[in-house]
Amino acid sequence: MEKMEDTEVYGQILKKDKEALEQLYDKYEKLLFSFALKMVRSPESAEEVVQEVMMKLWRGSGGIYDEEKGKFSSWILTMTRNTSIDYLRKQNRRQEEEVHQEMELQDTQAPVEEIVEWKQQRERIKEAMTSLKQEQQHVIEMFYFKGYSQKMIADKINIPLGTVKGRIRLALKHLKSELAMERGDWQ
Amino acid sequence: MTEKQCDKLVDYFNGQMDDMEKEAFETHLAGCASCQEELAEWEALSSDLPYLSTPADPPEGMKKRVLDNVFAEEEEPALPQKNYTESKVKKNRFTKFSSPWVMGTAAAVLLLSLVGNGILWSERQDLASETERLSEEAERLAFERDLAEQNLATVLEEEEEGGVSDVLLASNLASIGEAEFSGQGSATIISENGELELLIQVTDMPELQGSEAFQAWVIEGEVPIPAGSFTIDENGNGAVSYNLNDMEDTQIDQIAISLEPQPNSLQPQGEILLASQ
Ligand SMILES: [Zn+2]
Repeated sequence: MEKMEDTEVYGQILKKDKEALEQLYDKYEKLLFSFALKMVRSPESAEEVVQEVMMKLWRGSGGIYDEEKGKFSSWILTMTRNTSIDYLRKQNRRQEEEVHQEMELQDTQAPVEEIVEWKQQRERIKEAMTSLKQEQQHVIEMFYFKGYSQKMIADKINIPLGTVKGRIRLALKHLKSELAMERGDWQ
Repeated sequence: MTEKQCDKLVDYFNGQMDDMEKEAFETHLAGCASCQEELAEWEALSSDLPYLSTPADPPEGMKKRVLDNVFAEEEEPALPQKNYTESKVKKNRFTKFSSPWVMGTAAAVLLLSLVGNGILWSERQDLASETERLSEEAERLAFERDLAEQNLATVLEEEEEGGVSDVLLASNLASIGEAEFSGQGSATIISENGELELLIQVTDMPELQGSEAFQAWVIEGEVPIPAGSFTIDENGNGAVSYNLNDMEDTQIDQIAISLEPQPNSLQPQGEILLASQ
């Protein structure tokens, strides 16, 4: 249902319908902004990332979406992630950053969220995340949200380069099975 | 060795590779089931993990700033958009076009962005110093690129005067693989004074080695027809213009760009990098 709507709106955007882009913007503004903020860490930078994503959508320069690429929301989130990583690389400000992301994961004062779906998603994934070992949470943070290179991850947690991928795989496997269990509980 | 390549999936996924590494990895990826599987799994994460972000309120006025900037980009060229009305975009008797193409006003807007880029290229025309290193063939190609730019300039001028050229169609050229590839471009077919011209423009293309060249192809069904070789400048930008007059009865299904070991291949020998959707 949601997919149909997005796909239709996207079709209009390809036809250069400004209202359609605005509609999509309204729908995804908060999610993309929050995700970009998590990655690039400043509201100004996150705004730039969101703007870049909108430009790519408008110009079609970030590739063209079709349903074979999965859900539209995943596609636009992947684009946001890639744009954030590019942004970070350009800024070359990785060095300044300290990894204290685990704190954020245990953050209990979740703001009131009007987008119910997001809130449910978030609760679900947060719960799965917190059931992982600290180190595994850390690996996922560095890998997914910071877009670190293999070498940077190896250096940060002091493990051999060749074992990084294995660690990521293990952490994600745990996360996945936690998520699957929760899904099971729901049904 | 293979295992080493498999490890690089992390850097590939996170865009931490230069063009050469990326190319080498993509070759590996094409034949490695375990990397493909893992990559698909990682990509699937984007339906879950972003929702971990703490909901944050966008800054005051962000929507207006963002949308104004996005739309301003399109309106910047001096060309008033109304020059390209639907009625001007018509099918040419030469060629039957199939549905994947962006037709009509969308085509006009794409041309506008082509023109915008054309201005950028002319700023980068200090290619002279670089041509010394290029083979004779490459020099010729660079010359052709300049010609393509001039063609665009001509189109621009004529449109400003009321116009004798019609944009028949335009399409984005994008990477066809699953993998991330930075290169992109556009293809535009213009009818001008009875001449049918294909204009191709690309950006962010990987560096060429030795005698390598990019080549455009017009694809009819499964059959690729060569439509011009070209090189790129140091910023990865390039363009080519190709006369389609003798393709009268060609049904253009797709336009693609490949990386060839030599300029002017008759059949694609290298990998197809970009294609219209
Ligand atoms: Zn592999």
